[in-house]
Amino acid sequence: MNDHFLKKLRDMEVTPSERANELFRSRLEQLSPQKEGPWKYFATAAAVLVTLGSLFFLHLNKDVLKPDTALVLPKSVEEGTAASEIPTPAVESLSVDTEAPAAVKDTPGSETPGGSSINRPTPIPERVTVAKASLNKGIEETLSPTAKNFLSDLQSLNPEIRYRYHSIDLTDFAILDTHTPLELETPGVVSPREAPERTVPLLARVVREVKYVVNGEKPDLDRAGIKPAVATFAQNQEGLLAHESRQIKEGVHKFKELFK
Amino acid sequence: MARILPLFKTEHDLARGIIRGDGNAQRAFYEKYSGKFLAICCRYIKDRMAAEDVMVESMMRIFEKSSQFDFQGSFEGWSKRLVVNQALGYLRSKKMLEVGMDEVREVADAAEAPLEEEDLLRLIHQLPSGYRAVFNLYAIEGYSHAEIAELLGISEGTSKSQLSRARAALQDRLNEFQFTSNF
Repeated sequence: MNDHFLKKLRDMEVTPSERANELFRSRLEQLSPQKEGPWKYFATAAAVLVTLGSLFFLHLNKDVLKPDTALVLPKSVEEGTAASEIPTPAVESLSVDTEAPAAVKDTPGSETPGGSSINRPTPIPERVTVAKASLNKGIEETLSPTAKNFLSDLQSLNPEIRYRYHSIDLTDFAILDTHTPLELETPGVVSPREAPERTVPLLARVVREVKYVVNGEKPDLDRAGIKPAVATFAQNQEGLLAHESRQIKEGVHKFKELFK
Repeated sequence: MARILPLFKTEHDLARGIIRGDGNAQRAFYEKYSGKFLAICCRYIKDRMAAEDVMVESMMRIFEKSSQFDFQGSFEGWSKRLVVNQALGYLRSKKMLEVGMDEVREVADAAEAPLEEEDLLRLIHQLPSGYRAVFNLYAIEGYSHAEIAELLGISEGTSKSQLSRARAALQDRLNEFQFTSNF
């Protein structure tokens, strides 16, 4: 009987129903995703590399336009000098140790006579200390009406423009770039908001910014420290932004008109 | 299911494709062996849908465990063993694989009856699942009593007795079938 059954049943085949075929196909699909699609891992790795590369590039460019870049204007303009003869303002980097308190330098008013001749910009280190010298309320109140008008006109050109003046007759002042916060500092104290901000790595600042955005806040490139690097793309040959360059020229003309 | 061109010339080529996880090899394997494997499952499991489920599950197990195949024998034979194990596991999980310890009753072999496969399958399905398993393993798959005892967790003597009882039961049913077919 074994042989009888063996002969008949050993090679017997039963055709699976369509349901069984469908079941097999679905099980096979569940099995296959693990095997296919290695390109997804490569794509993810490439995206991460591109992101890190971009961040590194931005981080490098952050130093091109330093937050404390100051425009040093000539102390005065010679009477009758043509506008084309006015020297191009020099942009100098203020390599100031932000941890140390700012030093206040005595700037005698007699050293800055108005309307006599065009002076060359003074050496940078001296300018640095002067530019970092904070202006207190007393000095601001002693400004002449002309100077106050000039400053208000200058401010009206662009509310974002920052300036620090070194003397009360406004013959010596600096226009700071728009990345420096507009505030009058207390003598000897560096703004606590600025100093630690520069020491935080760019990546950490970007991550923190992302957290702010996740929490519902609007993205702020200034706060993240990305804007200066982005702005370098718009710099002209002198290293100035287009709108800054225009404002400076207008300011110089205004300055010239006032002190003719 | 659409037919797949015979991309794999030999059985071992097919096995290598399956080991690589090649979807074409897996589909070709299913095309070629699903009928045979379903027949095996149907011999052990009466319910057709359950048998199909077990067959598909067996296919998946073969794909998963294919790396254990050592290319020493037939890949089909190796796969069949997995299918049989899967079917026995199903019966075990459903508590349908209870082998009794009744005493042996020797019966004489009946004359060969002109039965078709479907009739034989129906006769086998009439056996209790324990008898059926032992009979299938011994008479169809060619396992020894020692192997059956190990597979089912019983003694060799029990395997022999179950086989005898299965034979006797089948003989009775065959006689009934022949009696009814003569009239």
